Amino acid sequence: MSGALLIRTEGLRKTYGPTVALDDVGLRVEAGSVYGLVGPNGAGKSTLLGILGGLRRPTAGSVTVDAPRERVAVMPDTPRFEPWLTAREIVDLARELVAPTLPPSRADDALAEAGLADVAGRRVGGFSRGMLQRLGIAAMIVGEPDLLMLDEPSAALDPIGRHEVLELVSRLGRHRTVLFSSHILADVQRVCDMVGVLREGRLLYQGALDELLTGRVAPAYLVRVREPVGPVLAALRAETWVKGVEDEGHGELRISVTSVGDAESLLVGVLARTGARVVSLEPAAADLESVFLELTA
Amino acid sequence: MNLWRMELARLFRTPRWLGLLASYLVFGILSPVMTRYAEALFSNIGSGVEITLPKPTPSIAMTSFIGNASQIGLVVTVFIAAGSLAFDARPEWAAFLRARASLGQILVPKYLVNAAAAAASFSIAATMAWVVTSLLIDDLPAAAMLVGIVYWEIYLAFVIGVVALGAALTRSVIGVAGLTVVVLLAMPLGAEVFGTAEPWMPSTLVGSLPALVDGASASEFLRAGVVAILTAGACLVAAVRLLARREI
Repeated sequence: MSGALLIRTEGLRKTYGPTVALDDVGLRVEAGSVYGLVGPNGAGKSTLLGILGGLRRPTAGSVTVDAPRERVAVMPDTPRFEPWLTAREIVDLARELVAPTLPPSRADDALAEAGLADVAGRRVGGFSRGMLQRLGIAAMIVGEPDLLMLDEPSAALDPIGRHEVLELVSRLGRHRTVLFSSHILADVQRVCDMVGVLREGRLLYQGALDELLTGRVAPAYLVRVREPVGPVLAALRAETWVKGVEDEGHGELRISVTSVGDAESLLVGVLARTGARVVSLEPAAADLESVFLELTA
Repeated sequence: MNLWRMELARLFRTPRWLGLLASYLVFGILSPVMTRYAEALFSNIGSGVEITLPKPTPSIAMTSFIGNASQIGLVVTVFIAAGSLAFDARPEWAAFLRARASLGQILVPKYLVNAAAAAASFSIAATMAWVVTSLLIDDLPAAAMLVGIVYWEIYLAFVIGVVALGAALTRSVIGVAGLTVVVLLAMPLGAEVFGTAEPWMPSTLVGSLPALVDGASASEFLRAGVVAILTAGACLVAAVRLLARREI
């Protein structure tokens, strides 16, 4: 990441009649980042991307996208095309519209990059949902944009299709700035380095994904001991620095603690006092889902 | 691929061109035939009732052709044009186009290709009606036919302009087509109510071909032709401006 902002919004607000879709959103997307916009359905993600892509107008606030319009590519959540056009024709049409100076062969390159080289000459009427998503991505990248904005690119795809699309997004993010929205937190955690959490039109958090995961959730440890676990559970629950212990079965315990320092000083001692046979002990990594639930609770 | 070729592909890779041509051509052939043989047909199916029809003339054949073309042909034309011009009906496809091209870039090829296709279909059908009428009934005045065809082409350009405006006022293909048909039906009624406006109304052009064949002067329809051209242009400009205000 270069640190320079490619997208900046100030006090962005969008209303549909009495419904507030976006409220005081101050989005910051750095050039070179893969930014994941997460939130439940109806959080305002598509509205925000629509405004950034110039397809909708804000009710108030300002939007700055530091890239020429032809260098910004937008993909809706369910790309649809004229069914009687071939994949190559659609991508070539996109090239003709945004980068006419590039050679027509660029359409085939983009299709190959999206994994559609074999079906380039086929009409898209019979394409699967996953193929349409990849075609949408090919139509985005054919003009070699600086910024790609994708709305729910992996939603409603089967696991294989989801994996393929996420791999593609991840690859694109190595050379371009990518902003994509999703309500599938695992997808965001997998490919993004920056994240924004949107709920009911408000941006609850934005920043580096690592910082979010390490700083927001109560620290926890995963301990695996040989049976019986009863004495260990009782001993841990008696400690004031232990917030809770969950027996996850097969000797695995998830221990939430008040502070990492206390746990590092005291946890091993407690286990030793109970005479437990410890198989393993490790800090539990926070996942985006638990952070998201905490933020939106 | 570009937006012009895409519109041509929309016509020729689908049955649209066939539907458009057939909706005029069928009547271009059948109208003179029916005019010529109507009496014989009715006498064969009659049960003792004597049916007397006027002597078939080229003017009756052309009136019959225009009567059908202005109903079935126009409705098919309107629906085919609406399918192209109402591109906002599918927001995902609209987003593809709008994010990459200006509304003028999108609308102009759609308008011109549809107007040209409708004009070509009508012209082929009218020429066929001319030939069949000449073979079965009598010759038609060439100058009147040519001017009449040009007036109808102008009328079709006006109709497609109304479709473009309709696409900016409502989103669905059926809505756009319905709105256009209502406007087209309302125009002759408006001309009836405001009698002095009739020579200026584009709908007056519908009857130009049979009237010219009957000896009317081409200048009688000039005002309506000019108004039709100006209105089509105004509709297109208004459509671009209204579509720019619409969100996807």
